[in-house]
Amino acid sequence: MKKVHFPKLPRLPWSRRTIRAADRKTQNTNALKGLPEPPWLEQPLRSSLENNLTALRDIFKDCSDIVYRELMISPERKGMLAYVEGTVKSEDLQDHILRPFILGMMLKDPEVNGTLDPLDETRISMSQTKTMDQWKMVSAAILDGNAALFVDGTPRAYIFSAKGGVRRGVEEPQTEAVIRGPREGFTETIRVNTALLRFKLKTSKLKMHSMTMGTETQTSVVLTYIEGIIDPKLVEDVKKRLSDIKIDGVLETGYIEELIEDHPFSPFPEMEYTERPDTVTAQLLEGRFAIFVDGTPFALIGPVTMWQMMQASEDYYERFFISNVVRWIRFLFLILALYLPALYVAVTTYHQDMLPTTLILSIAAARETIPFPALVEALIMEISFEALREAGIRLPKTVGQAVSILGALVIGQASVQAGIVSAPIVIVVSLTGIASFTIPRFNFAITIRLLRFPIMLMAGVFGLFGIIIATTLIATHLTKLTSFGVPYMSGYSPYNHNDQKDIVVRAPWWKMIKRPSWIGNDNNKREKEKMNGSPATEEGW
Amino acid sequence: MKPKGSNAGKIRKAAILSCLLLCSVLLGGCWDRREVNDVAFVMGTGLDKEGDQYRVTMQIALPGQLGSSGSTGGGGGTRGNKSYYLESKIGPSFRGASAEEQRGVSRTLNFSHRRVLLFGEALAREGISKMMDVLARIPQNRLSSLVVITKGASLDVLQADAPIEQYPAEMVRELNFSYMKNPRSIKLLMNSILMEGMDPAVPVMSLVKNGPATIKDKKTNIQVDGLAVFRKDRLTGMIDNHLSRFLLLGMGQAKETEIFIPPPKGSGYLSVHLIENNVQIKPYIRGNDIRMTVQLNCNGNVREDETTFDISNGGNLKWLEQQVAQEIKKELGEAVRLIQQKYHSDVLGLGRAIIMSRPDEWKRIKPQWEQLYPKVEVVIDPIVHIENIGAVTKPFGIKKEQVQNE
Repeated sequence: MKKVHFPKLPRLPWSRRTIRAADRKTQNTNALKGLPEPPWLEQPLRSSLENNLTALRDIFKDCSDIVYRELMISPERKGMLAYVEGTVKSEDLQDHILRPFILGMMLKDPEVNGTLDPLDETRISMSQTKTMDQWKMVSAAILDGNAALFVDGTPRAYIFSAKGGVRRGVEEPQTEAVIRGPREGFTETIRVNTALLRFKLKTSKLKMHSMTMGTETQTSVVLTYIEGIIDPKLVEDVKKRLSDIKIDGVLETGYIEELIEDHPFSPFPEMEYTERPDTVTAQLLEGRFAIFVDGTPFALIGPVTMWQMMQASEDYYERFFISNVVRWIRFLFLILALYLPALYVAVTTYHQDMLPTTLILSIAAARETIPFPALVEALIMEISFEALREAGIRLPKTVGQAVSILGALVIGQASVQAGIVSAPIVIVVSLTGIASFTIPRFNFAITIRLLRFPIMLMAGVFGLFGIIIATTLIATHLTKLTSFGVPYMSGYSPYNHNDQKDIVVRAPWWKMIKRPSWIGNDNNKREKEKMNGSPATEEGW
Repeated sequence: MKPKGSNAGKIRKAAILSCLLLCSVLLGGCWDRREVNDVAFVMGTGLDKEGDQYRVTMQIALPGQLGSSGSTGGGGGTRGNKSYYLESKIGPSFRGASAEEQRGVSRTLNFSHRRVLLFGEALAREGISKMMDVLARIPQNRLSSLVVITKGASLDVLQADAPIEQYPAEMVRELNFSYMKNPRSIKLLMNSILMEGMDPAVPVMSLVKNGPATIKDKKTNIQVDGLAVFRKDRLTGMIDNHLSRFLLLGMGQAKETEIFIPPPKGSGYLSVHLIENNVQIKPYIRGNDIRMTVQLNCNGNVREDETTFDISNGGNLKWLEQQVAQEIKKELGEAVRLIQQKYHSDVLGLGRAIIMSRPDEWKRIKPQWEQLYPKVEVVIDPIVHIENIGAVTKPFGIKKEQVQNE
């Protein structure tokens, strides 16, 4: 038998472009060096305060926010305290560093005067102290919001952690409001965020893996997960992906999301972000990991499935009967958000036979004087709605009201009365607008909103066949998509019976005994099987 | 040399591929695009015979006159403009006339929302089968359109004012639904034409004025006039309104039948409204002597008692039930005689009853069924049950002493 050789198909650019370790080796050869640094930085500290001061002033040349406070350690010794103004708690420095030395000098305490080490426990009442002797470390410590004390005659710097400065407090999350559920949200301070998580997960199994990212921003990033629930291989993989990030700055979780996801060209989000500690906790308990980045109130969660994008935290707080109905409405409106304008275009331009007679006559009556084809009409309205939404977010609150009034006029009555668009398309646009806001995850909602444009174009070109083609393409893509190796449609594709309890329906809590199946972990039972609430017990129902 | 499958190569391939895709989309797409305002919706079609040729009349919807919001210039139906117009042309065939019609209409005629198909009396007497081909051949001509026979030309019925509905065609359709349980759509009609041992019956409608000549606001309207009975595909006769109600009972198609019974003493009528009826036809065959029992099971309510007769006691109610049964027996019997002997139309499906219960006998009877059918003895056996006599039990406007109760 002659073996038939099929020609190798060219790899499509949007096909699986997983950034694997092998691919990254090529990236590592041109490792990021960062900006050129002054020569001092590679050297150790000197013992002379004069020299150290010159070095310090050279490193922080033209940095007006660095404070140099000279002080006497003892009559013979001079010292100097350096810190960045605004990032330290100056009260702490006054109370716990400056005052003891000044008091010691005034009292002329012989013991004090004789002591060389200012870190003597009797003197400094700061909780975290360290000594460093390399300029590189010292400068990094100062920039990180510590105070550094240099003493004449010692080639070391004493670093006091007095991190402070004004940052936003814990407030109600802006983007994820709930009726029932905790009202606290993450802040810009990473330690506050990890503490908020620790309040909820009081277990040593909650691991927090810290790292620093960004050659210039030096942003602290924390990878957190629950050991024993999460797949250890997943943790390894994520750590690897995170450590490969070499970039000058990380300002938001979005930087990290784009640098570690499986399929950079997919329109669908492969990670979830949230402002809510309870959401993070719930996801960690289902075997996911979360990434905190200093300076943003959002935590990244992965791996995700599509169903997770349709779940709101309230689904689990409200009684299951109600959350089921709400979830179904959400799914219904997801379909509407994706297809309604396309269906309108397809039906009015190709399939007039499909609608009930009275409905098509009303649409025909409304469209009688409209100068545009249905596709153009739909595009005009949908694009102006998107613009209106975008303007609504960007505009300062004081003028925001003007936009909503203008928008209501433009997208509403006025354009219909002017005979530019028909009344049914206004209904269609408003319905899709409402529908897209029922999706709990904003990044998923954006994807759905944008995907409806290609579907609309396909409907305008091929009618219902176009909608079917577009749907097939999307479905193919979705089944192929993975998030950290977990199939995006997990539960349905590949199918798992147990996972059905939290996809389209939300089973009652006494029924959701197992964690999602894709964890790949034996430790997948999360609750006792027959509890008091479950109808399986005699006293149940 | 760049390695094979490098980034630039991939991007080029992607660009070529998307260009090809775009070409196929842009070249292939839109060829049958028809905006809704380039389509003329035909609501009803009337077919008449004119000499050798056919006259096809189409009722075309004018959505701009509907007065829906958005039609800015129109102002709507309040102006008294009709929301439809008629287009009538002559052609050698049904389709031929329709094609002729398209030449005079600037929008594409769309038949998918046609509610009714009206056949003029003259045309129906010649047979309607050959008209049906085009209806089934083109899927846009929906088989769910309802078929109606008009007294006189169908053109007249289509131009009724019918102010209660948006289109006269819609009124014809609604009348159909209130007249029969399963209105005769093209599909059902063809079924009964092609089926052995069964002939079709279709409602007859005509144009009427909405009141006596002295009425101020004169409008023309459409009403049901009875039942047209067919023999195969030819119209043979029309049963008037009174008898057709009983005939529909016999066909199991009656929807709202009211029967009026005089009381034993005095004047006036008792009205019984039959809400439910089931029919079973049982044949008894001995050689060429064929008998049929038509068993009717009717449930009804008393709707009116303008007599002095008290129906609140069981005996009297029983008497009323029997009277209703008698009435059905008498009138349906007359209707059956009419279709058997005068019109030779088997709308009850007597032949069908034989096929269903005695298929072997049918083989023998089939060749001479034409001759046998008028001679079949039909026994009507109705059972009437009155379920509800209404909110008052005794006659309402009459003093207690005058109520007769025997």
